[in-house]
Amino acid sequence: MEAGAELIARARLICGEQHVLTRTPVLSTYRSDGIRRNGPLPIAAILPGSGSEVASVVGACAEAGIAYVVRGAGTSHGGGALPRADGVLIVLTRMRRVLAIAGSELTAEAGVPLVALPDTAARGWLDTGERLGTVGGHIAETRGVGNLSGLELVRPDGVLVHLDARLPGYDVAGAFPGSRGRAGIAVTITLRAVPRR
Amino acid sequence: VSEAVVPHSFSEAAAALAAAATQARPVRVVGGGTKLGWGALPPPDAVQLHMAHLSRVTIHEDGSATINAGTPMVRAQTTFARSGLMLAADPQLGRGRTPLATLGGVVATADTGPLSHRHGPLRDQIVGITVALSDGSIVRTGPRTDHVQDGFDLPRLFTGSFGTLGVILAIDVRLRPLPRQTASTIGSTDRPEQLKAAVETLTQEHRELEALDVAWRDGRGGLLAQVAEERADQAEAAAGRAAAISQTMRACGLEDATVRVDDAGLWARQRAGQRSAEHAVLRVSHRAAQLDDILSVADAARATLVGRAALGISYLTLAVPRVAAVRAALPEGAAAVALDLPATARGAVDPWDVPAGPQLELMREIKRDFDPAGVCNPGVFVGSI
Repeated sequence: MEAGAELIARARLICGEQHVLTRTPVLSTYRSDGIRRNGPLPIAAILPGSGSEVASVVGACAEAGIAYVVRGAGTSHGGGALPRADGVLIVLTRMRRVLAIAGSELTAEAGVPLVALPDTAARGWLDTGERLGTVGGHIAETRGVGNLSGLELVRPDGVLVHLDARLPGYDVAGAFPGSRGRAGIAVTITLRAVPRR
Repeated sequence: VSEAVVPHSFSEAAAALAAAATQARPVRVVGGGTKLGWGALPPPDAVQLHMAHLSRVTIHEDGSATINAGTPMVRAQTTFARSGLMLAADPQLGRGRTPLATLGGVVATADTGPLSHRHGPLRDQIVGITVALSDGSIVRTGPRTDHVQDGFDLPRLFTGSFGTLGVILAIDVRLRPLPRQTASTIGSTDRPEQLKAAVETLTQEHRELEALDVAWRDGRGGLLAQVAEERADQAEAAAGRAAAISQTMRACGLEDATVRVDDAGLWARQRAGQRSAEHAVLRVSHRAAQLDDILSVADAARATLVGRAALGISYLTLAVPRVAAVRAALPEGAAAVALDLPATARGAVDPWDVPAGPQLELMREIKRDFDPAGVCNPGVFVGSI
């Protein structure tokens, strides 16, 4: 079995048959980004349902030596969502649960749409006027998001790391925004409320 | 044997670092020398890279500035003030009356002050950075370069990295208008939960505050709130706004709630409370909602506390033998870094107290990526990085 077919088989075991898309008409809907620029057809679009599934898929990609591109709602204007012909797309739009709101902190999966964040008049969770896209996509593409207090990050080798911004040391969580997929995949994100000025 | 190098240019600094790397000799960067006691003990044979001659401030037309790392903070702020501007970062710049701290040192230690309430921590003011790595290369990111950097945000990784990734050569920062008139309100209480509730109310009802600090000692303390106006002739306006804050404080049950127009000394004392020559100073990071718990922990340890009331950053000054008890009593998720320690305690107390685990392993990986030679200030950081 060639590497691509083997990866598809493994991804189906990890995520379920129906969440690994390989038929051309369906894959075509994942070719464009926010300015309707078209990329090539990827080998497959894989839609994990949890952080651990993302970690397993990334680990499988690493073992197979196959590149991946991560995608949320596909609204990037910088080419960040465009697939590669020799790689797979990892699509996070099934991961759209707000996991917790505790006091002034919110924890959400990366695929939560920005419009679904429960903002109020007094406070919001992301200091942006952007309404399209997902929480994970916004953070991956935007340098300087300063109110992250934690992340669950899938590293390129498939290891899932929980990052607490309060833990002393390098500000790895703070340095993640704007990394455009090159520092790993944020699968859950904890934000501190930002007051509206 | 310790050796000192004093570079006069970025390339000299990079060459000195690379030369040390080829000899596998550790390098320790020295700025104003005000925080050399922070972190774990450095290697005794480190080459000292003195930054005094890398001192320059350039204000750009877009309201940002580039500051070479060896520039004393005071000199940079004086230059900005002549243009009616400031860098919104106001940590304690040195003990006594000799404020020698340099921009590079403040960035490397992520030191902070009361203005972070409004403007965020220092890292939020930084838009670009120039660093030398141990392979001799100079890397620059930010708006003054065409280089697009994906991956981890370099300025944020280097801020607070204690010189362990490379040598910070220059920092690009955004500047803010310099307030010419300030006024402050102080309200006091002996009930930690009442103080915490007042912080929540003040942050919701007065979003314009420049600073909102807490000071606490022996079971009693208070909140200090500052407002600012841009023009020197707006003293009345500032006092009026401070009076409105005073009303809110009283409604929250705080006592006194007095207004001070001449408030510079007040805030200087807050900053001074972040340092100690005789005792341990713990910088505790916690959730803002845990402030009442932290005040109780401080009381139990007979510690004095100053801090950013709404940001979850508290500085506890206490006797060294009580450090372990404070760490054990911290609420879930809070962490304490020992900054100042008396010379006799250095080496005996782990300043970082970070557990082994995946996050620490990721930090080690980052250290190896940036400094494969392992010569940049080795051993002083978390997990002996």
